[in-house]
Formats: sequence, structure tokens, C-alpha cells
Amino acid sequence: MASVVLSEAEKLYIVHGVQEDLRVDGRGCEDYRCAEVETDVVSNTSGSARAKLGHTDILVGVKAEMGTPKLEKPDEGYLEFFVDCSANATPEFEGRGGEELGTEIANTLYRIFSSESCVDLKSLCINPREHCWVLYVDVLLLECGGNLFDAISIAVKAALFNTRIPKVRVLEDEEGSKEIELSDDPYDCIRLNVDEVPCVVTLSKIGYRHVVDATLQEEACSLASLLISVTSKGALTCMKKVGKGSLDPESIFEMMETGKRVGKSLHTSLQKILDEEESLGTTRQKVGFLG
Amino acid sequence: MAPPARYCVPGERLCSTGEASAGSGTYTRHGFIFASLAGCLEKRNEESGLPVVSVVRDAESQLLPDVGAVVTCKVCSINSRFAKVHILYIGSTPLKSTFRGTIRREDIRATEKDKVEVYKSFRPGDIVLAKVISLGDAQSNYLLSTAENELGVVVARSEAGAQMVPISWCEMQCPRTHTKDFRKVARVQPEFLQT
Amino acid sequence: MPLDHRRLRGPEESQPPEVWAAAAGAGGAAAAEEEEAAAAAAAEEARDPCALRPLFARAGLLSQAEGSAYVELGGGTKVLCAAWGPREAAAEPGGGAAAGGRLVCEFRRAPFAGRGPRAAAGREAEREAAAALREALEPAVRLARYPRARLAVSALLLQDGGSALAAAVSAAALALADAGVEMYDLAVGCALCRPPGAAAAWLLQPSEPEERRAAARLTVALLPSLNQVSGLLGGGQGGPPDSWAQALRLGLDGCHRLYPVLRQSLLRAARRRAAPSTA
Repeated sequence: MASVVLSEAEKLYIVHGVQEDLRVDGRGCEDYRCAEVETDVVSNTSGSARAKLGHTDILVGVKAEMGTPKLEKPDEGYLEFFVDCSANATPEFEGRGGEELGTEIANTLYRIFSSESCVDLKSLCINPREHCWVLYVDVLLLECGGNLFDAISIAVKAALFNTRIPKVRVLEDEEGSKEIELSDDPYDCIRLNVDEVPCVVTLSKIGYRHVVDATLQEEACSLASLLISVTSKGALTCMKKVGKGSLDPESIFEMMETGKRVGKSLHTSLQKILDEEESLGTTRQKVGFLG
Repeated sequence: MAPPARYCVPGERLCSTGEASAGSGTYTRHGFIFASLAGCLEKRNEESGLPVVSVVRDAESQLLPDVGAVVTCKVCSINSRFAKVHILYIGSTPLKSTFRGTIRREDIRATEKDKVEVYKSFRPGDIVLAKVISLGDAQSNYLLSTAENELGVVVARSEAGAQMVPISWCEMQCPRTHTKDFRKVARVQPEFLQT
Repeated sequence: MPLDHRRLRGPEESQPPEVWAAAAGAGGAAAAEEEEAAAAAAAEEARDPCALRPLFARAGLLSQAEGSAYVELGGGTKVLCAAWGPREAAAEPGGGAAAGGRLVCEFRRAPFAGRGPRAAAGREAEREAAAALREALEPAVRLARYPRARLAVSALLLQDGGSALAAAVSAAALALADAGVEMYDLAVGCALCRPPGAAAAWLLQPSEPEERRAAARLTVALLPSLNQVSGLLGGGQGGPPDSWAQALRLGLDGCHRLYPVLRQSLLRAARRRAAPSTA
């Protein structure tokens, strides 16, 4: 991951600031940075979104392709995640440098979406055992400014919200051979219900307190953080410790409570933005990424 | 030694720092001494002050070359700027795996550094005593120095294959052919002569 | 006679018969499955959620590795771990890590570890488990004592009977301690799972069938004497934070109860090591 070099004095300054609930950029411990979310930014996808959180910039494209359902779940479609750490974000990602981080993030996304209620996978099935929709979710890191996981989950949720899958019908003739017919109307499509899609809240332990949405500098001061994914109803679907350090049990309980609270409000504001964008329709002025 | 030796595992609390001071294989935290190795507990009384608590494993311990340690190494290649060596021993403890080190030209001897020539100081295959001066950075490995009288070549073989005898601080002689070769010779201290 | 290994003498994709069994005999098989589920549910009723499976641990059994440990959980989880002390670290492309040592973890499943078909596709899962293992162990090891060096741990899962990662964490910590690596504490792993159903209680150390049917899973790693959580990895059907907090408490309690067993086995190994020289 992108790294910053901090002197001991700078670290102490940040740690003491956090102790007083005042962070370097003026935020409190439970405040997010200003977030920008825009959907439908790439036209060649079924759904796309871009999320910008401070200096972290994430672009997500969802492509729906037809595939065969997995053997264990013959009547469900599935999601595939790929994370590309491009060298634009930091020079360390050049070549194979970002691969490890990419797989780590992808694995985390699989874990977050492993809960059955997240996305209605049954709606992605076309005909059991033979055809289903596979949603390829491609995450592109354009800029890394700390708190990657939260920004990625926001972008993924927005992109899934934006995803439109064309409607298809299965026609069966007398001999029993099946034919798939694509609807002629481009507006005739399935939308995904994203109410249950969780967002990640990463809580970084700094000193004796924890902060949400840490910047790169703050991440450098934190030895361990807790990553939890929260649904809009406040249920936790994933929990993971990241980082070199350890956490004491009491602070984990506190962090879970904070995460739930922060996650809920994050969902509310995200949903508001998404609905607003939706209502504007084509009249919306597009900013474009890195705008 | 008392017959019922106490064994401990990492993380076991041994005593408070008021009762003893922490020796090897232990660490202190919140005013207590904890074991950091699985092994036998040893309490050694010092004449002055607190007894030293340490955890020992009589199996060979996991040593790493540290700055200031005297190491025994074998020269594996030389060029005009430095000699590359493999570190084999730290003090008198053999290492389980070799570590690579570098002796730069300017670290070979203490005086007239600009006149030093690597090939007149070391040859591949020499056994050298050296001191670790730095752990090196991301690119380089351990940096060693022989800029002391006691450091330098201790064992070298001549072209004839015989073990050479030091005749001065900078020359060694082959007992068979009587040819002289240049080396940065160590004046080996008697305490290192075991065999 | 030389065998042609490149030519596959079988269908390109093979499928476990269990998948088809359920669908083929719609009547009989489904009934059987239901019965099985009912039996499992009944067993769950009978099972004490706080019960730990018997654990067998032994340290220092591999002759070639510097440190090793074997952990077996009653019910069939078997993990073998080997650890190697500080070695010269290969030049890293990133550099950076000059301040302390690096801990390299490997987690492998034997091809026959799991139920069902011989799994070769587990690579991704293995890597995730290895990362989780490293994360759980890193806080326990005094890496600052090993500048510029590399410590290696490799865990081999011989048989997966549930709670595999948790067993691997415990075994790896034992192996590192057995190798004489300086550590702050041992790490103890414990797994939990929650069966489907709203009111279901978390079960400690689930077995493989329980784990397969579970709605949510959690693996906790604890440094028992420091009382610090070094690893936490879980996911599944969302529950309120309270439910997860309860799971965490139960898991930590489980870790504390497992710790004496691991400690005893390590002490025994340390004594055995010392015995030849003193006796």
C-alpha cells in the first residue's frame, strides 16, 4: 500500500490530537471525509460508479455476462471480484507490486458478500443448472489516500445500484431444446436490490481511541484496525482484524458499536445521494472521474 | 543448580521489575518481567543490585549478526571495490544458515585507507574475522569491517594448497614453496585460540 | 513404463456425486437429506454450545524443522506446523522492512484434506488463510529482535474436520515457540459458528458439518497472558453487533480454556529438549 514517512514528532502530534477528538484535518473521531459518489460513469459497463473519499479515488465497473451456475448452487447467479491496483495510484503497484493487495481486497469483498442476504442471487438465475448471470465487479484504484476498503465498498454498492441487467426469456420448443431470447427494449432490465448490500467501516486504533476513515498519515500511526461490514439495518456481516498489532477485547466491543452507528448513517447518506442521482436521470451533469 | 528447574513458555509472567532485572529471553511490560522463550528459567545473583532473570534454551539459540559483533566469515568473491563474504560464526556460535556480508575497500584497515587494494588483503576462500558495522539497507547486506589489529585474515591457503603462516601484519608465507602473499592479517587474540 | 501425465484420461470436469444425488432421486434422496438435517438439528440441540472438542497438541516432533507442532481436535482436524528461525531475507522489491524481521506464513491443505472431490482449486483460499495466519501471529512475535531476517512458518492441514484455521494458529504459535523464536506470547486460536435460524446460539469449535451448514463463522486468535486479540476473521449472515460481541466473548473464553493444554505441551517439549544435556 502507498506509504508515507512520518517522524516521531508528527506521529505523536496525530496520536495526541486523536486523544482530544480533534484530528489533523479538523474532523472528530467518528467523522468521514467529504465523499463524492457518481454513478454511470463508464458507458461500456452494465453499471459503474466512482467514489472519492478525500484523496482516495475508486472506479468500479460491473459487467454482467452469462455463465453456468455453480454446482453447489444451481439456481443462483454469482459475483466475481477483481481488484486492479494500477500504478497510477502509487509507483509501488507497478508490475506485480499491487497483486498481493489486490487479492487481499478481492478476498475481503468475497467474504463481505458471502452472506446470502446481501444480493438476491436467485434473481440472477436464468434457468437452473444451465444459465445464470455472472456479475464481474472490477475495482480500479485510481488514487490511494487511506481507507481503501471503505471507499471500495461504497463504490461497489453504488455500482451495483446502478447495474442494469437486460431481461431475457427462455423459450422451450417441443423437442425440449432451449433458446434464450433477449428483450428488444433496452429499458426492459432487471435492477438489483441493494438495500442489504453492506458497507465497510474500518476503525483504526490510534493510541487509546479509534477513528473512522483514517488518512494515510493516520494509518501510519495505527498498528491495528478492525474492519467490519455493516448493512443499512445495522447488522454485521463481516469482521476482520487487519494490521500488525493486536487489540484488546474491550476496545473491539466499543469499535463494533461505533462501526454500527457510523455504518448506519453512512448508508443513509449514500442512499440519499444515489436516489437523488437517479431522479435527475439524463439531465444530470456528469463530472467524470478525477473531475 | 536447584534440581527442580522451572520451565516457562512465552508470555509467562516471571516476576516484577522490582525484584529482578530482565536478562536474555525475557521482556518487560507494565512493570513485570515476562518470558519470551520456551525454556528453563535461570536466576543469577549479581554482586551489585538485583538478580538477573533470564530464560535459556540449551539448544543453540537463534542468533543474528548485530552491530558490533565479531563474526567469522569466509571470503567468496572479491573485486576492486569490495569483498563479498559469507558469515559463518558469531563470536563462537555457529550460525544455522549463512548470511551474506560485504567488506568494502575503505573498511579493510584503519590507516592509509586510500592505498588499500582488495586483492592484496583478501582472496576467495580466506577465513576472516570481522566486525559488523551496519546491517545495511534494502539493497545491500551486512557491512563488515576489519579495520582493527585483531581483525583480518586468520586462515589462508597458498596456491600450493598449504596453510600459510603469517609473517607480518600484511604478509603471509607458504611453508612449502616459501612464496609470500599479501593479506590483511589478524593478530589473533589468545582467547579465540581454542583448538 | 513411462506414464503420459499430460494427457488427461478422464472428463475435463469432474463433479462430486453428492451434488447429483440430491437432485436425481427427488423423493428418496430429499427425504434422506431432510432426515440428516433433522438429525443434525437434534444433535445441535444436544450439544453444549460452550463445549470444547478435546485437543491434542504436541510440540517438537519433526526432526528436520527447527520447531514443529502437531495439533489435533477431536472430530478429525489435524494440523502439522513447522517453523524455521531467522534466515537471511531475500532482497525485497519494496525495501522498507529494514526495521524488523518478516514473518512468512504458508498454509496448505492436503489434497485429501476435505470431504468431497480432491481439491486442487483451493489456492485462493489457502492464500487467504495464510494471510490470516500471519496477521494472527505477527503481534505475538518479537519481530524487532530479528532485523533484516525472515522467519518462516508453514502449516499443513492434513484433515479438515472444522475449525481448521483456528487449529493452525495454535499449532503455528507452538511451532514458533518450539523453534526458539522470541515471542511476546503464544497465540491461541478458536473458531465459532452460528447455525441458521434467528435464535440460534453460537457454537464453540464447530465440526465440519456444523461449519458447512453455518450461517456465520468467526475465528478468533488471542494472546492469553497479555489479553490481546491478535486475529479476528469472520463473516456470514448479518447479526446485530451484540450477537457478534457475544460470539467474541465466547471465543475468547474458549481460547483461555485451550491455553493450558498448549502450554503443557510446550513445557513438555522444552523439558524434552533439555533432558539429553542435563540427565
